[in-house]
Amino acid sequence: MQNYKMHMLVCGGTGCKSAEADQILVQLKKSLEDCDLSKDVQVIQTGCFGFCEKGPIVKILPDNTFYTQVKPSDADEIVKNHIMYGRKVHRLLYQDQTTKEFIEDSKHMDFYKKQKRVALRNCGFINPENIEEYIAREGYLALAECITNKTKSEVIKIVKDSGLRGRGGAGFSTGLKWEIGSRYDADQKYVVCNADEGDPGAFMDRSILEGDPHAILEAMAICGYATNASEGRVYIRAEYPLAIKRLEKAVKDAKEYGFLGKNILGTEFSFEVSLTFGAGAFVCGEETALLRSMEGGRGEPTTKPPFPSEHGLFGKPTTINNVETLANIPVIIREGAAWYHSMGTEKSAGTKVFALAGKINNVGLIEVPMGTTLGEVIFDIGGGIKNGKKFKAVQTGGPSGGCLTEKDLDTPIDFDNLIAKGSMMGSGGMIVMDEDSCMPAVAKFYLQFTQEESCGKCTPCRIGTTRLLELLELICNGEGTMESLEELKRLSLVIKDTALCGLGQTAPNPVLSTLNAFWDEYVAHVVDKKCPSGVCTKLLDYTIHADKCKGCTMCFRVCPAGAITGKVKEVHFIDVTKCIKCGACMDTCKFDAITRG
Amino acid sequence: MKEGKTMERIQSKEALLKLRDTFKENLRVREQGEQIEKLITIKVFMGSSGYKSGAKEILNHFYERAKERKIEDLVVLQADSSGLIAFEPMIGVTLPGKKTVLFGKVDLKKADEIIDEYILKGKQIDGILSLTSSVAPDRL
Repeated sequence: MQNYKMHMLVCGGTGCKSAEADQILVQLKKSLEDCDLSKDVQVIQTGCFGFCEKGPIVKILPDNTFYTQVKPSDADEIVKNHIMYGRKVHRLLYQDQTTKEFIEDSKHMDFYKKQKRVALRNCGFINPENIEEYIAREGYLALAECITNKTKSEVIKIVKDSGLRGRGGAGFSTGLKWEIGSRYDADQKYVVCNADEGDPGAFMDRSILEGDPHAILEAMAICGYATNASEGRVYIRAEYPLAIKRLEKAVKDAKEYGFLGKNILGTEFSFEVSLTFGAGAFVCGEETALLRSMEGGRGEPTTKPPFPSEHGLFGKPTTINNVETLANIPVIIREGAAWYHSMGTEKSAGTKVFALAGKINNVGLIEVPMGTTLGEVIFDIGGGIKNGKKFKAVQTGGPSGGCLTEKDLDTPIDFDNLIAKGSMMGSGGMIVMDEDSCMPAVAKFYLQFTQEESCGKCTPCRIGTTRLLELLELICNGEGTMESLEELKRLSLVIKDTALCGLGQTAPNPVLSTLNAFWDEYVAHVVDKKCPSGVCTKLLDYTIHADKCKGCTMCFRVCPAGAITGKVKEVHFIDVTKCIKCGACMDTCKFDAITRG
Repeated sequence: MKEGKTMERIQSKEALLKLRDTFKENLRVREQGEQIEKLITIKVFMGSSGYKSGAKEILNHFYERAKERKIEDLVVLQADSSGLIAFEPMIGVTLPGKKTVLFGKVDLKKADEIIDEYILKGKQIDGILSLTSSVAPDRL
């Protein structure tokens, strides 16, 4: 038995790893060795802590000390001060933005106070590559309970009663999906885990797979048992090498322990899991396109019905669940449907993981009960907007969702509320925009994405998104008219009604929601030919005000295009034909003599 | 799992539960951290002067006693010097929901008494320092 007195957890998520977290691990071990403490202190690499903004994270237990932005060179100081003399390394502690206090115990951080971690329960707590730690956290007990003590319909009833809805975007009842899946008989049935996370700025599924891969395997086996399937496939994008590596290790270990394979836990139930790698096409997150891709064909969607539950992978009945949905299953089985339903709102039970990104202070991964308001997520947990700027909008649901504005901050987040507000839950990405974001440009960004990712099968999506993008470019270039705005709206509605799959049907959402909430900004672009946020370069002019210019030549020197002329102590001028509108002159001017308009 | 060792497949729920209990020991430190406010904590002040006067032995002694007596809700922590150097080695004991109590000049015998009498039986014992207010609150 191990006899460690302290544990040091080093974040091993992709974010922290890219900031030398591996090296921190090595250095910590080395320092402990040097101080003859390696028998007292265990160093473990875990999954994501969620506080990616201040990564790499090192957490020390049992005293819950939370060190942020650790560098490999800090390892020695942590060991020599904290571990030897109990002196916390103050400069590495998290500093509260408002009180300026250094917080020693992570439980007192605003970022964690309002969170409730269910799907992320093991992320940043266990070593994801060690099955023993998963077992110690009640791992595979839910599977054992199901296959030894519960009938298939009992399992389905628990999932149904829990009120769990699919976390991939559409929010369909998971229990109902399993029930439908269990109705069809076939010689071969499948369970598919959709780990094709494609929204820009979303990393919920990746973090779960990297931090707690066994939970997904356990849930897939439970789903297999409930729906009578004997084979599970994970469709994961090849861009997630770390998640793939940990998942492969998890499959191997689970097989050795007998949680996967033939006659699991000595019962009749057999279940195998294998991985299929996606090539990163956004459309393959749509379930029918995903199945075609898995079969080796082109990732193109097909019409529904028939639904995959009846006619799925290789024509066989297939139950498809998203990663986060699955991560909830083992806990629901262990703690019961009522427990899960007690969290969240009436129609959207449980918790939801969100990836906070954009102009927000605490970029990272969070999990909150459904019904938490947008404001709480952005300001209390997310720490507000970067550099003290003003909040403008938040895009939920990725390129398929919409923009929510200040007046929606009090909206409790759940599936139905977001749809009512013209956005959607989506998979849980939240991109926050501040006053410097130009909404037509934001819509253009998303349209660029969906237009490029459109598979091209149906005309409304293939041609429609291209036309939408052209219109938006026209507007952002100052060449649009009021008719362009009308056309933008009309076309968006047509695409929404006629596209074949979810990608096309939701692609106009960012356009419609920004048109709705920021109509004035669109009008400014087409009528006044101005971009109020100063983003659309074609609509910008930089001018030097003669009364303020002291002739210091600073702007003359920084201008990369040689567009500024002037002599020392004389007023300078910008040649608009040469100006590339980079704004470098305005940033360097000490006398506020240069304005943008 | 140790390298090269092949695991025997688990054949029943009971075997899995047994395995869980064995592995759970390894995660004890982390799980204690998770619910530290519900546990009894002993904080040993470990600045340079505490270290010199034997705080490390006291610390290790507490770890061992806690394990021997199987007191699962006891966490031993180390902290920086308290500032009250004259009383070192010094410890602070916090029972759940109660104020921290300080003990000065703790030796191995006193350490046992603190565990047996104060923590386990809840008796008031000699040696409690009435100097709590002279220690900065964030050190307690």
